[in-house]
Amino acid sequence: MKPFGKISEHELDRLFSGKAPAENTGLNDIARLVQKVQTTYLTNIEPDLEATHLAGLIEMVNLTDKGDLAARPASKVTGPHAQASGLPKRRRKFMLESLFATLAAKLAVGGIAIAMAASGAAVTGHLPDQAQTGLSTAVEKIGIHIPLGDTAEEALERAEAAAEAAAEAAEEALERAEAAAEAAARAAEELTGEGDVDGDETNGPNENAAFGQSVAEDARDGGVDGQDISEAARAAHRPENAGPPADAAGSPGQTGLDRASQTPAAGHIPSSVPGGRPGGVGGGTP
Amino acid sequence: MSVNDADGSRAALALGGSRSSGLTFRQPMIGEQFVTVLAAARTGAEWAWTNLYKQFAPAVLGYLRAQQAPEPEDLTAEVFFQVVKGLGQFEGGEADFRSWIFVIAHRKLIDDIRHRGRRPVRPTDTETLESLASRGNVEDEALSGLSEIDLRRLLAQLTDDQRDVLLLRILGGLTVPEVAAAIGRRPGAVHALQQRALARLRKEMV
Repeated sequence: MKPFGKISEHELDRLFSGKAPAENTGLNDIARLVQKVQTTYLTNIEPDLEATHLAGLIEMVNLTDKGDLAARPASKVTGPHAQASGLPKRRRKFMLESLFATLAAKLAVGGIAIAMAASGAAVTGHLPDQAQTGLSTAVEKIGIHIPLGDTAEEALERAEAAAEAAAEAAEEALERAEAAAEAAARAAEELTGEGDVDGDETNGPNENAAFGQSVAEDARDGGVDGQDISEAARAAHRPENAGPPADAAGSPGQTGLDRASQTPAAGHIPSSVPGGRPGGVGGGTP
Repeated sequence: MSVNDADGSRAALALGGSRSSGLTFRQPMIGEQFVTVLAAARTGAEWAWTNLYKQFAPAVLGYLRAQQAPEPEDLTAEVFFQVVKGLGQFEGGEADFRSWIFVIAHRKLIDDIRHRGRRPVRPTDTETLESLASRGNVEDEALSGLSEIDLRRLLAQLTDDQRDVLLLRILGGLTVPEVAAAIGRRPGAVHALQQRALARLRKEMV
């Protein structure tokens, strides 16, 4: 037997290709072994197995030929593609670990995390007041709007609350003024009603009927121009011509008849009304 | 070999390299017609694929059996399916094609081993031994002085890498650089592995 370590590559190629070793090489045992391996395992495939394999193979060839075309004309063959498998996973894991192993990387990651948290807090307005206001003012200059700090917002809320309170107070004052005006109007009506009672007592129903009739006739004859009266009333109630405040209407000593006598229709007060114009409505048209 | 390209019909291909003690693996098995067969296979010609299968499938199946793959027949089919898928990207001659097929076969074997959890170095059970004994060729055994059972026991003495190198060299007919490419080692390492494997086998055979 030839001592191990002196088998040349040429001799091995000869042996592995199934050829007999050269004379006096002492490699007969190896040659017998190689021959045994080849005769044992290099056998013809059983016909059934071969038929099954070929059927599957042809079916796949037809599928790929009609589908994604794994088989294509030789003229269009471009050769093997570059391997795109990338680095082994173990290596990639190592790279990630080494990336985060340095202090600078950790600081950078921490800084990024803080910046992201601050940005998020600023957008939602949850930074401390001064920081929020300062940041809001700064980024407003570059066209980004984030909420102001709580101090400014509180001030705005206070101003809004004050405005609401003022509006409520004004509304209450208006309601009081309206109530006073109504009270004054009722007082005037009461006074006027007293005059009617007095008139009933002095003039009687026939005179009141005559007054209604005279008004109707006046209206028909155009003796009383309602539009003129309306305009005169509006002019009289303009601010510069406005009479005394509503409260004044209810002042002692002034009655509804007094107020009526100040209107443009004063000349049409029937004579039946006490203190009215002597000619009255029934006295003819102006 | 005659190839009828005109009508795409199956060619009558006289296959060489039949199983014999004088089988020469590095000798081209299809020869000059390989380019024609390959071109026809690229266009999906059934006869071309049949020829490629008949030429290379026995060696692939033998390699997988020698590696004691649990389902060598299924793995052989998967190898040729992969060849169908990848043929569009293949470039080279017959020796390159053979090397490429065995690279695929070896990787399929590794994937299968990983899938099953461990390398299938199994003790040979009684049923297998009886089967091997009944299949044994008395003449071959007399010539080699080895039975198939002996062969299995010998191969089981090798490390995985030693067995890979030796079987790819003997059954695949690959050169040292081709084996190195197939198993992802340097040629020098492959050379050392095969030397150590042979030394171990010689020691066991004594």
